[in-house]
Amino acid sequence: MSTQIFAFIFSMWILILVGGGLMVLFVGPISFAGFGEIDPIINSGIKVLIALILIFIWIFTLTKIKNWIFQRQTSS
Amino acid sequence: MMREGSSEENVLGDLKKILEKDLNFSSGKIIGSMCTMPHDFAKIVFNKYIETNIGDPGLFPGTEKIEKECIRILGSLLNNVNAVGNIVSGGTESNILALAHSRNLHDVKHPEVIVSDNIHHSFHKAANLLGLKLIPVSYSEVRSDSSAIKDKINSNTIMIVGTAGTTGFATFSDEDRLETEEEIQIKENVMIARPGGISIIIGLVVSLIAFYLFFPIVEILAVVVTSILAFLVGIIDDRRVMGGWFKPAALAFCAAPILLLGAYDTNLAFPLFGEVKIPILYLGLVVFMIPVMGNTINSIDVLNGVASGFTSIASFSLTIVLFILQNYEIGIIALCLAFASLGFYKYHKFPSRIFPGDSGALVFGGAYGAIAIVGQVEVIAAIAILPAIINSFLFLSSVKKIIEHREIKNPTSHTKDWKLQTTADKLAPITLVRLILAKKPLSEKQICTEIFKLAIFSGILAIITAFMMGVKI
Repeated sequence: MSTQIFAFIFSMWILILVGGGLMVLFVGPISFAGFGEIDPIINSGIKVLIALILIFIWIFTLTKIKNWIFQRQTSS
Repeated sequence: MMREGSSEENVLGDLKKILEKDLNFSSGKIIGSMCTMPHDFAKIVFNKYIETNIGDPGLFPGTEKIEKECIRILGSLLNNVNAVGNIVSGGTESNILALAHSRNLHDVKHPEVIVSDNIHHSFHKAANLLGLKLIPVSYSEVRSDSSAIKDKINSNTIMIVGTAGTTGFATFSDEDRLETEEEIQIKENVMIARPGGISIIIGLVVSLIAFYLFFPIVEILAVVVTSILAFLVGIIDDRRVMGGWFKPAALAFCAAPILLLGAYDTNLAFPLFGEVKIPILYLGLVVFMIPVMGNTINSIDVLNGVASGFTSIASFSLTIVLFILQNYEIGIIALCLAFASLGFYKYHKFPSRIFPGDSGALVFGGAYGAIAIVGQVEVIAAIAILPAIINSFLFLSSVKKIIEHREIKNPTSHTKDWKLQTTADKLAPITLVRLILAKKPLSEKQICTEIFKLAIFSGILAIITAFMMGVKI
């Protein structure tokens, strides 16, 4: 079982690295202009939305990995 | 070996001759014995079921059932309906078994047993066989004042033995005066300070203030005030049973000093890919980080020594990470947390003499989260505590809501030899400990070792990640 938990931790680590890459490459550069003083708020709002979607995908993927690694234990 | 056997008459005659030197209960000459003439009905039962063997429950499940029922009845008479044990034929054997179980359960290097000086001789035999040290207490002292026992209790004590009655002089320990260790602790507060979070916050704050005198940077103040606020939240939760949402909500406010003192940078750094600037989003992250870290460390505080040992390993990893990133001042702040938790671990490890309580666990988590923010190593700090994050993730994905730990079903149970095993209750949550136990039951100490191995592995991943921070693809 310990090996499986180590594998799960390693999977989480990889997901964090990939998630970080997505944040820097796609979410970071997003910028909208033309709304005047509320530009930063709109930009942040959109980034929050994308970040939440990424977190949802991250948790969904993690759940799938968890079920795959710990199938027997988690179904008990 | 005789070629021909002796007749029944001869055997009975020989026995009568040899045993006529023995006393018997009907003679009226025995005045001091724990035994009596067997009851007439007991003789009938004994003769009828003489072939049964309690040592072979596979052949005699009915006998085993009676044994369990007897243990349950005896346990309930002694206020423990969950008592486990076996029925054996003599007092010496039962005393040896009880001491052996206690010794194996406590896993102490130099185990000691506190006994009154009128104790049954079998305890001396057992102590000799099992390598135990008997600590005698005067019988008359115990009868008058239980402090004679309290004075002898230390970290090596595995058992306190009371005597229900001695054969020779019919002396007995007054059971009403023999308090349990827990009762002694509650009354005298001599063994376990609960919660012991105060010692953690004092250790951490004093070391940080000493550091502040040499390096007066605002980041130190931010960590100190956040830790103190987290401690106060924990104290409230220790003293009053609060709802599941209390801690996350209250801990969110603990991030205020970091924001008010401006001890943060709005750039979120990721390995391999560089930084992302998220000015407003980052404020939310700061408010989010402290409750997450606090509750994550708190949720892993399930066994003796785990929370402090785990925080110590994660903090040392974070210190190395900060030194690699040449953030030396914050690295020393992380080192203060590492040593504060390590110092606490000395007394918190199995068998615990102190527990952190929510106040201690939240200080660990709050301080750790604050260091991650002021040191700009949020992502790496999360990697270093991945086993605890997994624990929270598994728990939440099986329970599917945030609830107070007192409301959940225990995911583990005890085996007969007091190891922990995963529960068969399907409603109990899945946790890290439950996964570790999936293969086989383990002792508490073994589980802690497994968790620490996972923490070291995560710490290594965090250090590798630190080296990746300088690399860009």
